[in-house]
Amino acid sequence: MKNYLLNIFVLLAICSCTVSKPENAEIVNEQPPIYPDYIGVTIPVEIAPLDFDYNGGEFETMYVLAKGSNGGELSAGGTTIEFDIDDWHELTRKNQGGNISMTVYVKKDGKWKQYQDFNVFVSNYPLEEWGLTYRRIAPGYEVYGKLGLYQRDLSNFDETPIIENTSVAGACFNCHTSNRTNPDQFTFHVRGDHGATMVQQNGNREWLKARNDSLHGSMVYPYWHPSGKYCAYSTNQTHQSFHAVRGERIEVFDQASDVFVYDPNTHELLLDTLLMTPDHYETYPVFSPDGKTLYFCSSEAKPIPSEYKEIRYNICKIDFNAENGTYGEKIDTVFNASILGKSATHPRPSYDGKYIMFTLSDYGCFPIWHNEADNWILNLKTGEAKPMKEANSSQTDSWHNWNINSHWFVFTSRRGNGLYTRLYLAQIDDHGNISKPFLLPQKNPATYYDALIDSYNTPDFTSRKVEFDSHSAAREITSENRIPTTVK
Amino acid sequence: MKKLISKYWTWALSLLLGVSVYLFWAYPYKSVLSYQEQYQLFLFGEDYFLERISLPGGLADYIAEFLTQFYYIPVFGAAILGVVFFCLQRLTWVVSRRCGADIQWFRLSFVPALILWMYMGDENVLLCFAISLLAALEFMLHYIIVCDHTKGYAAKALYILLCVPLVYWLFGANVLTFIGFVAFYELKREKSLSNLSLTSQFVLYTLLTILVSSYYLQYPLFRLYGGINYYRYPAYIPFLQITTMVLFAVFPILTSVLPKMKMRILEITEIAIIAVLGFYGVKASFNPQKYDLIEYDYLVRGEQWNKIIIKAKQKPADTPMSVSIVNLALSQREELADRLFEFYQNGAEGLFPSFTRDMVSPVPTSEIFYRLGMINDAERYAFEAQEAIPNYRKSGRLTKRIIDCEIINGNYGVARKHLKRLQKSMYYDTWAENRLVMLKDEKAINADPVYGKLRAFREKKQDFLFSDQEMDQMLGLLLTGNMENKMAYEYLISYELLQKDLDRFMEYYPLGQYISYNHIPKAIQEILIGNWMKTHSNPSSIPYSVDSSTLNTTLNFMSLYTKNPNSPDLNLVPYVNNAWHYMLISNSGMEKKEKEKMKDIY
Repeated sequence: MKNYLLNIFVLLAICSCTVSKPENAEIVNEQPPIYPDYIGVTIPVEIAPLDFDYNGGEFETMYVLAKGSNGGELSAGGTTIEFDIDDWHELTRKNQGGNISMTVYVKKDGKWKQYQDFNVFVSNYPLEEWGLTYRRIAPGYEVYGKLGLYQRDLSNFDETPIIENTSVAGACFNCHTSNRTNPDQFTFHVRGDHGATMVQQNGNREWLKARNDSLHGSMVYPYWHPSGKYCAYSTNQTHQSFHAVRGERIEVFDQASDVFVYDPNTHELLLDTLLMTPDHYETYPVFSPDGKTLYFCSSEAKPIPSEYKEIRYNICKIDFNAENGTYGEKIDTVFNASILGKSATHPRPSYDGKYIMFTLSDYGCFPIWHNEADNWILNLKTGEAKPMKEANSSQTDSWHNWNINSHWFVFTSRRGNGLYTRLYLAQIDDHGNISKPFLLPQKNPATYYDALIDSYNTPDFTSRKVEFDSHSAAREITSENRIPTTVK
Repeated sequence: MKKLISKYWTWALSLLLGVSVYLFWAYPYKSVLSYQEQYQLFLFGEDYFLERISLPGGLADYIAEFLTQFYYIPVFGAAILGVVFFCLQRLTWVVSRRCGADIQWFRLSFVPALILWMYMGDENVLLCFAISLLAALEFMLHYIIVCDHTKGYAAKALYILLCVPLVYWLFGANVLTFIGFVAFYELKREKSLSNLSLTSQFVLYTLLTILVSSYYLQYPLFRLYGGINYYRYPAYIPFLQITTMVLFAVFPILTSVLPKMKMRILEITEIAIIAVLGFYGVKASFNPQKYDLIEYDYLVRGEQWNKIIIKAKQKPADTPMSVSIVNLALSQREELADRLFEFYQNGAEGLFPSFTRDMVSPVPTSEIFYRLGMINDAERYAFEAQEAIPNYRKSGRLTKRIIDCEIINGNYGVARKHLKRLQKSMYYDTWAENRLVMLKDEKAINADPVYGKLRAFREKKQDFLFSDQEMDQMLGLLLTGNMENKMAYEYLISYELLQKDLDRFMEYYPLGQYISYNHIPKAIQEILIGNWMKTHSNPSSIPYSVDSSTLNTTLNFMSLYTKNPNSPDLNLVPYVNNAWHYMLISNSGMEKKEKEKMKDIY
């Protein structure tokens, strides 16, 4: 509802202020200071318009001319740049594989200035997804206020809630995960008084008991098997504590964690002693795209909290047989972060089987609160791992996911102000070259992001809009009817 | 004069209500206004308006928040409430009169407003409820006017058709109050089958309107029918709210069916009802313990340390929150180590209350951490309190504190983000403007008396994870990091005393020589004297600089206690205020503070 009203306001605002192309503007030999920094980014065709604001101090108005290398032209003007969505899509379609050159004019003290043109590259790789799913929550400590799981149409600015905790007072939702971006199968957790793990398959919802006596804790960090027959989870005893010095805020650590696979058809848990070792913490399970390998992170168990800075995770793997739901007999280390004195978490295999993207931090299992955390990429063919310098920043860069053709990825970053995570998208080409990431487009972005006091969590692509009956779900959450899981 | 009185007596009585409401909130309960104001943050701008108006009751909510921001200055807030209650009562009477009520029953028209006043004794009742009741009354009045000026069903049906969704969306669930009145009004007016049928359709239409909206809103049905923004807690709708809604709906009809009679006894009865409701009812509905805490927090907000101490002298503070506030006030007057035992103490909880997931108690605790220089913990408690606001609103006061912490920690990006929000507020905008200017000047931040001091106090080198059972170690690190942090010293010493840990006290108290004292604080003197006398017989050999009255009192206490530990004299002044009374007689602090468990996430 708010969006509709906002659209009306914006429409009125656009109608009331039109700016024509300035004449005799003074040429300025520098790139325009704009927010977000879209200079030189690469975008997919039909992404939402890259609306932006002037970030160079007081000004009166501005004007932008966008010209495609393969033709087409678009202009916008005012105190914030808002391109018409349909015209923008047409321009990106026309210039796929080319670029859009932006000429920015800014009027200050009654005089127009023309900045150096900058390019926005339009990728040849299509974004095959409808949009993104994510959670929005204030970056807090222990108590949470309003939060929800949301979905965003990437071709425009529409965001709609999948479920918000206004529907169930006091509930917390997290870890929304679909199967390879397909929302026909997805799972999320409910925390709080009505705890459960929700599994929806083809519109049918099941609410699993949050805990099983055979596990050390709740079901956490899900990842679907590509066949859809299984879903891997970790089970974690996760705690948090708080730092005293200025540069640090929160430390989240596991005091026990294991990995297992859940069979939604039988409600059985497939456990294995290799994945539930008492002397190691296993977490963040993910399946390889062929479903034959289960990757996960593993760290030597050390006393917490006294040695929390010595906890370092490696990326490991074990074979998995989807036919009979059995595991291999040995664990292999895929990436040994601990010998680098680092900790590797959040592994995400690309769906084309080429890479594993992960987050590297100094220690621990929760890099979101680590300023030094960066995303890395491991080439599974060569075994080479390297930081994704083009996409990383000096602030926390962490949770990431691939789109289905594995040429786009979304990740969270605190580069904006050091605290509030925002979503960035970037491209990786056939040769592994990574483009400069761009901030998730918003209408009137400076105002939008300034006013937004939520962080974005656990983003993922979704091939189409998630269909979820939040009203029935809310009733089911409060009903306390839960399906118990059993150990196979 | 008599003529004037007979002409305007109803207005005079209504005005009396307004003035009473004003005086009530402007004086004894002004702290409640501060409380209401600090758990919302009204922002000018279309985004904020759209956010509010996108939900049923949004306009009432927006108006209520706009008005509540004026509570920042209590006399304004009290005046607003006075006007609201005046209007509510007048409108109640106007509607009743249009329904046919006799002037004889005018005094009864105060009853709904008084019930609402009683209901507002619950500090979680939001002004939005009163505003939407006003709107409902206005629409009731217009319904009567439509009925009076038209014939047949068409006009009133059209009125209902248009107004029900409008009232629901703009003012929320009080559309049920409105339609309830319409139903009673119609049943009274015409008892035909066709009118009954039409009225039923009106009610059904209203219920369906709300039901239909539920498909577009992420709220449970009971909240849409009970009002999203009438009550701060979302888990239930208070019974008294429903009672008030029903009362406003039926009251005009009830008074209209009362017979016309002029009897002295009736007038007296009416006045008696109003007096009882107005005085005892309102008094009984305001929980004194709850409002005691609210007042303590209000005094902290205004840094009224003397008033806190006077208040505690009049009535001892006895909850972790109030005791911690009294101790904070003592520390701000640099008297904590002198006067600690003049006041009731409940162990280390009285210095650092355990964290609770609510919006109230972490606020003063955040203040304690902030003034000590434990900036991260101050911010955490402020942030948690803000997130714990049950109706998901933000807080101007807490946002300010979060910004202070971010500035001290040098996180200017985050500070700037919050400051830009505060720029859109009415009472925090100037402060925000000043801070935004300050962000560009590091020297100005360091030169600021508060920021500069707290930057010097905060932990800079040795990182540690917060543990509430090791507060003394954290205080020790703060103190050794900056020996000018007198508050850290006083809290450290008080912590050991309240924990009855004399070994650690003896270890830490000598640090006081580096603190700017012109005397050994009284509580420390008392302990030192008592300790010395355990192993020595001659008080004149005491090597500490103690004053004679403290020496005599402590020696007398020891003598009395040795003779009879249960002597009633020990519980009298001055012995009851001696540190050894707490050590030997009080049960407080016997159980060491339980270690706060690490925070579960999953």
